[in-house]
Amino acid sequence: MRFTPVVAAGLAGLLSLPLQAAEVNVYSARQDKLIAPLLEQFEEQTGVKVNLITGKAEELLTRIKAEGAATPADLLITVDAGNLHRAKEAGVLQPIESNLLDQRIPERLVDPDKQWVGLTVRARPIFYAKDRVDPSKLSTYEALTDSEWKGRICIRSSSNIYNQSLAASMIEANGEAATEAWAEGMVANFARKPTGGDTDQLRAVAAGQCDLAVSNTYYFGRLIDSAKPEDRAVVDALAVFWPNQNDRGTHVNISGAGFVKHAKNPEQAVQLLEFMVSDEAQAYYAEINHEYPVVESATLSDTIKSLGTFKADELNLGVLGTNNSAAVKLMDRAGWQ
Amino acid sequence: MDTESLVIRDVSLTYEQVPVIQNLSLALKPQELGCLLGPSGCGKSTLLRAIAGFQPLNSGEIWLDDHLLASPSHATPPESRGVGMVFQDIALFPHLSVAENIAFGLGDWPLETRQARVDELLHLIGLSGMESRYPHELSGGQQQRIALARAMAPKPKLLLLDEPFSGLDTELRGRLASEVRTILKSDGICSLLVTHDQREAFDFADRIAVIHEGHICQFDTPYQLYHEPHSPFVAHFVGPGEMVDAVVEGPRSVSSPLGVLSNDQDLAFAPGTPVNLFLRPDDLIHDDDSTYQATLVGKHFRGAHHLYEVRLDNGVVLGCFAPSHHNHAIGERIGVKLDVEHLVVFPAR
Amino acid sequence: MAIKNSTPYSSRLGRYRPNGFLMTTVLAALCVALPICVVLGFLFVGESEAWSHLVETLLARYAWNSVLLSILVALGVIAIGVPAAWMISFYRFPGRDVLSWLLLLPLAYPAYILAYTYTGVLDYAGPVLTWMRSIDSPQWLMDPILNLKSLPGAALMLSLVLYPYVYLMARAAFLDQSANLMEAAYTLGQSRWAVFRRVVIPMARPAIAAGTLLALMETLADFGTVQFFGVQTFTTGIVRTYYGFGDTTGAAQLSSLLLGFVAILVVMERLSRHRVRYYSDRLRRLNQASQYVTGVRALLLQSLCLLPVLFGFLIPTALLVTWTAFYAELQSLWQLTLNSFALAGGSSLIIVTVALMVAYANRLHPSRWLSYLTVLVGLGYALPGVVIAIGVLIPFASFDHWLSAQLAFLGVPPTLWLSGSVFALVFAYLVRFLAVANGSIFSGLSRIRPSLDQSGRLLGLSQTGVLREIHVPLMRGSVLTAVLVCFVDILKELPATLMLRPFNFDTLAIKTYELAGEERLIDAAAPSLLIVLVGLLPVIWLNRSVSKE
Repeated sequence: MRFTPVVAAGLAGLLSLPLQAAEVNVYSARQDKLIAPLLEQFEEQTGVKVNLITGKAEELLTRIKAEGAATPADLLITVDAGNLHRAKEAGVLQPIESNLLDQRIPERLVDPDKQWVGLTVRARPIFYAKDRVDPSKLSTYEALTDSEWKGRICIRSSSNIYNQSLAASMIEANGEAATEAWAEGMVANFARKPTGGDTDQLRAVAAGQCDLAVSNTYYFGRLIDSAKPEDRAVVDALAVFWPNQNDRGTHVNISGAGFVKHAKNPEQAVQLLEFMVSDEAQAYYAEINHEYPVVESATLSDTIKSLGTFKADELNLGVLGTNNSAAVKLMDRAGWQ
Repeated sequence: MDTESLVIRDVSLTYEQVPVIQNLSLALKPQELGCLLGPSGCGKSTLLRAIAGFQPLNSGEIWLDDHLLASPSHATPPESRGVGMVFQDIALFPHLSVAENIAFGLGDWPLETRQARVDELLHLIGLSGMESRYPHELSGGQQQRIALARAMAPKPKLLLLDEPFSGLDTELRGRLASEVRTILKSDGICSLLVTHDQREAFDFADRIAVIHEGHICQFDTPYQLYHEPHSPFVAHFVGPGEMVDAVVEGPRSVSSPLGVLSNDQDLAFAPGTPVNLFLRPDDLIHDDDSTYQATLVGKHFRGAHHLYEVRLDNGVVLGCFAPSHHNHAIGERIGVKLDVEHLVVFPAR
Repeated sequence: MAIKNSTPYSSRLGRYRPNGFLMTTVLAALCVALPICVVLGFLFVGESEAWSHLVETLLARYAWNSVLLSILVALGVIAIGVPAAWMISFYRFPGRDVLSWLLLLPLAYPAYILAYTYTGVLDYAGPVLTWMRSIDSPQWLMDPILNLKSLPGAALMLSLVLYPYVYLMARAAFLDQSANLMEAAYTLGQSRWAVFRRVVIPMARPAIAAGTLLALMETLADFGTVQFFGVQTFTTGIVRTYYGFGDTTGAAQLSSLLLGFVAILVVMERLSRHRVRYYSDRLRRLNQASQYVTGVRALLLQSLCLLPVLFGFLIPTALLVTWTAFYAELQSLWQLTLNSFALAGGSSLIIVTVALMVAYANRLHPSRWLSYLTVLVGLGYALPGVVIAIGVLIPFASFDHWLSAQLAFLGVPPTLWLSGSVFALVFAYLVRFLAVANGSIFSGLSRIRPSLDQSGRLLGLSQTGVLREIHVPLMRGSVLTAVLVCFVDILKELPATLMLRPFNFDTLAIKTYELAGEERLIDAAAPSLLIVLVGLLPVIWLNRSVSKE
């Protein structure tokens, strides 16, 4: 019984050895532009070659499922916890064993079974038009459904995972029925049909099409760093508001990585993950994409610092995945396109 | 003076910048069936298109029932002329049934009158019961009759027929021409046919205008064109025949290689004038007893009779009809004689 | 060699037949049938968990949006294509020849690229609207621009790139109409407008319908545009169900519904095409009815004809060129171009080879069942890429898992022999684009007289030899056209490529889609521009062959 797999593995090893040096295959929902420099650095340091395929997290997950035992994937990188949870549910992940990772990443940013880990944190606050909105009127995500904001909110489509995760966190806090009512209230307050990405929502506020937008912080960070005058104008017109500071905290999500069950290069995969939480890699993330590091010792970029500090929702992020399906369906029902 | 329906006065036309009709005049009486006969390229189709309104006039006027249709400064649009037209390529609307094609120009008629007119025309052209067929389901002859009915339906003041039979086979062509004549006569529509085929013209028309190089050579009944052509061109164009040298002898007689012939009326030439005598094959008869002998040089069996080609002693070759059972061999000398009442005489060339 | 003269040509040669040509046809038909059968098969496996959610909340929306989009696109392509064809066919004015050609150019654009480009420039915060606000333009003027990312917007984008189908067909139909027919109508007392309404349009109607139906098939197959504009149609629904809910069964069932819509279009297209054929060959062509127009009226005609070209080609191309020149990061483009060209080139060669063999099989062994198979092969073009991808992924993945299990004892590591390789992609392209190649190859082959084949055989060539030595050289133009059209179609293809591409393999279309998805519309300009420029080649080619005829 035990003999066959060993022989098989040996044969496979023999077959593959002369063909390829050490490598690791990454399915990434992160844009290669944002991750590639980091991977190059890793290749230089370790000599391990990184193969990257990028795509939407859902597509990559479906692919890993379809590929089954034959999958070439070692790691699945996503930009949210929900998809990592889905991957876990689908049974395509396995626990990561690394003391280094255990030490460096806070527990709430890690799957309880350690099948995935967070690599960066991203927050999803409210941005408002400085000239048209009195920030003292803002309080919570829930309060966005007040009639005060009728026709004044810009937010992207419900097919986007960031909104799905936001709704999932609210299901955890307020229950499904209340969240569905909230989604309906949001739809009623939309300034326009959901369209475009987070940056588009920020631009729309600056241009006056709406007064409030819900957006991840790093989109704002990119505008801050932009050399283009029209982007600078957007930044000047907007300010950030951290909602729910008096209760559970502002909704945060992670970008993270899952360890694929049928990984062919497990050692290299863990090696890559450990590299990603090194101080320099974390600082790089913060610097290049304005995300919050998971490692507390890592330095923040000046841009991030300028947004101020906030209290984050302490929810274990696995919950975002558990509630995802319910979140999607209730937003569908609420007519959030 | 008779009233006239179509009047064409001093009309000149160009086709692609080339002058094709010069100062042509022509008039048709009401209910008359006219014909423009001429070789291809003589400008007759261009004239027809000018009457229909698809061709501007360079000079002259076209009138129909005392209404000015066209002049260099005026052109009634085709749809307001009251002129119907039957086309060479038939031009039935393939997406409409027979009845819909015929009724096409009757848009503003009341439904019942329209229906009655369609039935009447279908009956007239002998195609009753075909109303729901589509053009592609009909034979060429049937299609052409439908096209005729369609053009006649709105009761135009003038019907133009542009070589309507040329797409059909020879046998059908002659038959259809007579049929169409009968139909038009019974409806009393003034019509103008364009053709290059003299048989078609004879079958169809009351009067034929032979057109050559942009003007009318002669406008006459078929009989007169055939037997009293005004020019050698007309004589040759309306049927086969040959010129024979002759000399005028008296006021009513000429001397020819086949003897002295007398005319039924006075000749326009003084005695002693050398002339050309035009002889058609039916003027020369094969007669074994004749004193005039000729050499048989060609023969065409036509069933009921032979068309012989005979060479006279002076070298002239003439056509000659002979009864079918008079079967002579080529090279034989046979007797021929002239049987002419009216002489066709032109000045000698 | 006592061969009786009465023996039919085909069976005489049939004695030596290698069955390769027939086998290829059967195989090609099976290829096309595979995704259809797989997708339809899922109708019988019962409801999935997500299905009830779909039926309750989304199905009606998908169906309604798909139908509404189709109606708007149909109106759009007719409203642009028919008047353009009318002006080009019945009037002569300065620049007419150039315009008749320019009007085809939008065909080079995939609708999604047009959508990305216009979004990039017509955004609320973009230059056009910012300028309009600065001059205090009225709201009703800005609202439609603001709402570009909507169903009517998607219909507009699709109409702008798909109207050439209608324009081409209508123009051919107008040119085919005998001038005498129009003159006959005039002599029957009809005004110019009545002639247009009662003769010209009814006669061209089957051709217009055929062009419209082609445009509608493209509309139902479109994924990139509707996805980007957030219009929920069947294609986006299928992709969302497959990826978002991870529900293969639901996706396949949605695919069968979409297939139902397509089937209706296919039947309508066949009917209308049948009538087109019968209309055009009975009449003598006489295009002398054109009217000379000069002065202000000529200027009006020129402007009207230029309008669709302007919005469907010139403006977006100018934008793409500008963006490419100023912003593009060109280094990664090389690899993408190489991938795209290798994939499109290789696939189109394979597809055209298969098309040649199918056409040749029909020539050698004309029979009823073979012509049915050929019709089946032609259906692939009507299948939306999403449906093909689903229908190919499911069986291929099963096969891979089965094969891996069988080979496990040999120590062969589990491998995705079919679904993880370029093979799946080439297979999907074959299914979708074989009909495109067939069209050109069949018409090319039909122009070669059978007596040439017979002389070739008598002079000692084999069947394959006849194909190689006589047919291919004689129909070089048709073969080239087929390769070119397939090449460009593959280059533009998005949904199937998206779902089936192997590991580490991006193409220009994929990159464009991804960049646009990340709102980096300006970075998407360079790959977009490349797709459009290559897409121009067959358009130019097409126009040459049309004007030659």
